[in-house]
Amino acid sequence: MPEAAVEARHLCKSFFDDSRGEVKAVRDVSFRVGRGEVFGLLGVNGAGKTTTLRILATLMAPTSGSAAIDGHDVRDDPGGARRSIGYLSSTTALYPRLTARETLRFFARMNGCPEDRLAARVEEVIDTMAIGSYADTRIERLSTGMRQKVSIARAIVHDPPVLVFDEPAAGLDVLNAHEMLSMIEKLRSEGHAIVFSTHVMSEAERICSRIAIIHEGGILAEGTVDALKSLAGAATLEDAFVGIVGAGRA
Amino acid sequence: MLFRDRRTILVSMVLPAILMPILIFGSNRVSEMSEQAIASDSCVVILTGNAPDSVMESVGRAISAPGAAPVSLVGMDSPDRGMLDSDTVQAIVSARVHRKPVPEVVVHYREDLDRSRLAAGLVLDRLYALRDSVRLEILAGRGAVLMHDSSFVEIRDIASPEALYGYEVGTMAMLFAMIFLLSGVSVAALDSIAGERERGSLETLLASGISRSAVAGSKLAAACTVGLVSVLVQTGSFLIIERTGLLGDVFPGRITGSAVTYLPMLLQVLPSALFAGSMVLYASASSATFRQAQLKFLPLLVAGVVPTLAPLFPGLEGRGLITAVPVAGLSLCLRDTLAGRPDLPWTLAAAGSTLAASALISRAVVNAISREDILSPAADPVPCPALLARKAFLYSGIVWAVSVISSIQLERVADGRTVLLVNQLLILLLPALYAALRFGLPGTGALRLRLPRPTPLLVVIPCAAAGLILTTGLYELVSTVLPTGGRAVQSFGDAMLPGSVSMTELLLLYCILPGIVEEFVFRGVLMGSLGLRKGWGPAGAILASAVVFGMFHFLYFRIIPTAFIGVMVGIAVVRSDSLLTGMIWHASSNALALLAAHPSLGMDFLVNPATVPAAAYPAAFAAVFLGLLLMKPPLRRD
Amino acid sequence: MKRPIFLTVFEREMAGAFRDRNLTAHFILIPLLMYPLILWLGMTVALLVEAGSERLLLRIGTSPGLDPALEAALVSSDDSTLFFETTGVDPSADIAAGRLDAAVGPSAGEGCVITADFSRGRGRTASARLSSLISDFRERRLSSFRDSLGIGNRKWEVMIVSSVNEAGSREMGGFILGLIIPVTFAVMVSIGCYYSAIDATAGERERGTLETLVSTSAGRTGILTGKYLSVLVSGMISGLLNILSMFLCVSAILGPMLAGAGEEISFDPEPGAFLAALFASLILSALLAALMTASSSTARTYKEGQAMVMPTYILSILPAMFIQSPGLRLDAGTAAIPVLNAVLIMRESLSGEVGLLPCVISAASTALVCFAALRAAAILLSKEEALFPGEGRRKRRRLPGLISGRRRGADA
Repeated sequence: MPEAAVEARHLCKSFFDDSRGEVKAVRDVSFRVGRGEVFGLLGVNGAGKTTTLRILATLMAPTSGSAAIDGHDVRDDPGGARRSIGYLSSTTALYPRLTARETLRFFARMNGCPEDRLAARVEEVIDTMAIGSYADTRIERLSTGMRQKVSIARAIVHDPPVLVFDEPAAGLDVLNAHEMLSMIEKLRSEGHAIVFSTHVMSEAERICSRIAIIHEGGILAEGTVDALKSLAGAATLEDAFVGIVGAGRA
Repeated sequence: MLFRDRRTILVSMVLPAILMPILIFGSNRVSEMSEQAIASDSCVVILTGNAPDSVMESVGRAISAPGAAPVSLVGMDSPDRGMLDSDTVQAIVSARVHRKPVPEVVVHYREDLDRSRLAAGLVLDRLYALRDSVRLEILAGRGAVLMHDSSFVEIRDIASPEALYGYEVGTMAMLFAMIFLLSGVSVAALDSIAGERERGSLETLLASGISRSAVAGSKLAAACTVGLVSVLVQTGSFLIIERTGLLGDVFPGRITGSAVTYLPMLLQVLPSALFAGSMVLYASASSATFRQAQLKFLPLLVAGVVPTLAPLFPGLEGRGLITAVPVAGLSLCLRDTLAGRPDLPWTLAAAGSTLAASALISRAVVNAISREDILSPAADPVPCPALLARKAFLYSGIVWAVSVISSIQLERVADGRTVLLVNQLLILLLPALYAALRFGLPGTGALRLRLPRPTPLLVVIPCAAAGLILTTGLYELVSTVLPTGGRAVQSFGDAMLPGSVSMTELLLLYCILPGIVEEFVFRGVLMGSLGLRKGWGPAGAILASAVVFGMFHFLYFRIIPTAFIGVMVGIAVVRSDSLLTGMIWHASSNALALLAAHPSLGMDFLVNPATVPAAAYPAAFAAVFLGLLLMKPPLRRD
Repeated sequence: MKRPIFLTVFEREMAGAFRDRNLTAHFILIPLLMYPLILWLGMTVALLVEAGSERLLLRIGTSPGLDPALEAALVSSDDSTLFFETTGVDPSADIAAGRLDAAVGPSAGEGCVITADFSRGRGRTASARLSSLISDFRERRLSSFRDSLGIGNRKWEVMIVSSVNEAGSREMGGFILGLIIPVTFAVMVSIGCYYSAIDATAGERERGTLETLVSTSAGRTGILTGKYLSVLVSGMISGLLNILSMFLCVSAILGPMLAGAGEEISFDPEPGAFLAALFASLILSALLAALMTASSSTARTYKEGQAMVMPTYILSILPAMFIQSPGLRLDAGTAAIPVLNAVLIMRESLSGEVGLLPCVISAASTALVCFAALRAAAILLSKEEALFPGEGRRKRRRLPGLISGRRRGADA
């Protein structure tokens, strides 16, 4: 197993709700992700994927358990953890009135990129993501696909070793989703550790090195696509997912 | 749906209900306290001068006489003015005898310092009273007994305390009601269309087969309900304070209602709520986002509050023509009702005019709900004539504001000619030229920059003369509704016609230049671009540009007559399809008015209503009508 | 070399604000359009009122027994808007019914009684006009007595009373501006802060950019400071632009109007006044920006943010109600009261000099409140429920949570 860039140990997160009392959104989730690996969190809506990823991005503190990003504990050293992570979710929007280039400069600065390396780094990312043709157009005038590419560029502009993508292809059409996944594969090949959540089986099947099936806050099974299929004795990942979740519920 | 937004409702209704009394109480207390401070704090008055001792003594006695405010008098030979400036002394009274045998008493004070101003007022009052009583003594010594000035006239007020109190409260009632209505309504309505549009649920709603008017109607009903509840809450809070005397004597009376007054009051508040609701809803319907709608609230507040100030006009009552003005009429009716004189028929009339205005605005709301340019706004609009048409009013407003500021500021440093030149060339012509070029108005199309056929050229000058007579008549007609003070007209005439300018220069500056510039701006660029608005047609463009043209003549009594000239010239330009016709009309109309004002030429009959024979009006009307008819419509009609 | 985070955030906020056409329009157009419009409306209303009252026709009754000389004087007065008719001894019924606007009748002495209904505007106007006519009549009667008794001018004059306003024209200009400008100033600074505070907090959360922002490694304090500064600057711009436009309009219209009335007034505040005005707008914006940023920092949506900022907004209008009360001046005590101190500095700067001590005290008291508000905002923002308040309705988590937890414990 490669060196762990992300390590989650027994993460728990509970909320209090006026009507339902205590709600355990995440219960005892543990996993490790190494460099050059895409780790998929597969689950239905409300399974706890987003909460887990938000804990990794230090946007939420775990109720118990711990997690470390590139050796930085999310609780003790949130700054270090945030520097090592590029976080992208369907709810992380961009400023509509900045251009793509301004967006990248802004977020590079926000992540502490030194001024003398700023311009070079931004150009590098623009090249990598092939967004040069509309780098000086305001975000509000870009299409959804273009925006998503700028979003990825935004997440990697400070060159973090770990990338957390929360349903990055949600809302994209087939072509854009395809391109998105290719981009993630490319980032993996560059040595990033990627945590990726989705509820779309084909996406998970295509790019994930390992998959964890998460349901009602807990991980039911973890392994490569093939391992999961054989575990459930199913021909497709979808059947395997349904089987495992069904068994977990029973 | 709406009331689920508990926090918002709470803050927007309960908070004002709690805050308003505190505000009223607080401001009342503070002013009371400072008044007391001033009253108990005796003001220092210095008496100085070389008048005979008897005069000094009686003046001193009069000034320091016991009264409402204590005055401590100090005698001093040469007081220092600096003591006034530092507010250690509030007034210096110098009584001197110069060459004249009568002593002169001068009160020195500082108007800009509160205590000094109050002290000087007090001292002056006492000095006048002193003079009056000395005179009466003189008369009495000769056997003529007269009453003191203060007791000569007795004023008997037959109004009951309730009616007086109702009158006082009623003067401000609609103002406050409108503020509460607008803020209550905006909680519900400002978000209702723009917000739904932003969130995308408006499309769902419009696609569901409900008619647009039903959508607008239900939103209006919800908004008005919230507005009315807000007014009710405030009224309740007012009544509680008034009845319980919770805040002391802030409201020293009682509003009494009876079955006779409830119906008129309902008829006064309900249409106002609809008016406020439809206005706010229009702001929402014409905005792409809630934020955008939000920014329109301040102008709305001004627009809603201004007519409620009608009760502050002296002598206005809730009857007659004023009831035709939306909200203003109702404000007056509400005051009369609170003063114990409900008038159902006139209330109905005022309610009718307000309802009619609300209906008009509501129709605009229905149209705006489905306007495509708001539904999917172009991110970066390309300059084109259609865009200019949409922005024409905004741009006119900006130019108008600039011309107001600049002409007033310039008048202080430059003479009338410079002001006129700057106004015509820099403020009107330059932006219009820029707009025409930038938005690419077609020269022979919208701008109508072409030579007219011979007939219009022949009839235009007689038409202008006849039009002037009609305008004079209209001015006379308008001034029966909108009173015009003699002083205002006089000062306007003085400002318009500087005596020292030669006739040639006058003709050039006041006739030919405005003829060319204003026609290019108003009939060319403005009317031309407005004509491109969807569904407006030439009639709408003529009327709208004429109104803007009128507004640029600032003084209220000139607006309608000028707009009328604008309509006639607009028709002439459209029918002859040439801007030049308008320029000639405008220039000759100004020239004729100028010549008529010149006393030696005997052309007074054109503009002086007193000398216009009644038969001249129909004749002039016929002439204008015929002339416009002869200007021939363009051959091709599309 | 690294740039401070707050500067980066500030720069972005300002770029965002100035690229927002609506917001820019609001900042520039409102001051540009509103004051000329209000000026024009005011002028029109003033002219209309003047013309209207000149032409307000009033019906006046004269009761029997009234001094015939007075009656003759009234009926033959120049005032052509008064129409006289004779009535019975008691005209009250006619006045109450609105058939007459006022009546003049005899009093016990040689004077007279004006009867009017003061719950009617016409009654008030009629009474005022009659009073001044009757007062003129009394003056004339006194003089005629004097003439018939042959009293000399010297004795009769007694003394010549006059008053001299020792305030300079600049002081008067400042005084008049001081009545109008500070109130608008407070409101406009408040509005300037209002929109940008909501936009920078609730608006950003609603659009989802706040999550992006806090997922970066930048410190929360830096982010908050940057946002705070941008709100502050918006408030200042709004306040200063508005008073500038207002100053131009007001001085333009009031100067000539008052000069016509014989008052020498100049609207050229001393150079130091601009500095003081700048300072006043700085401390007021600083204060309101802090309070508004703090109060809107937990709002989920723009609309909610608006409701939460409202109290601060009202707070900023409060001093406007108090400032007109006579005798209120800037001293060490009033300088310690936030908002009021800025408004007072603004007023005093227009009419004279502002002392250094009150300024220092105001700056200190403002800084104190700002610090407290920003600390509160930082604490609120560092809570995760501030970041994702929409989910799971966890707003009132603490108390119900504790209570239900205890209950559960008791059950067990």
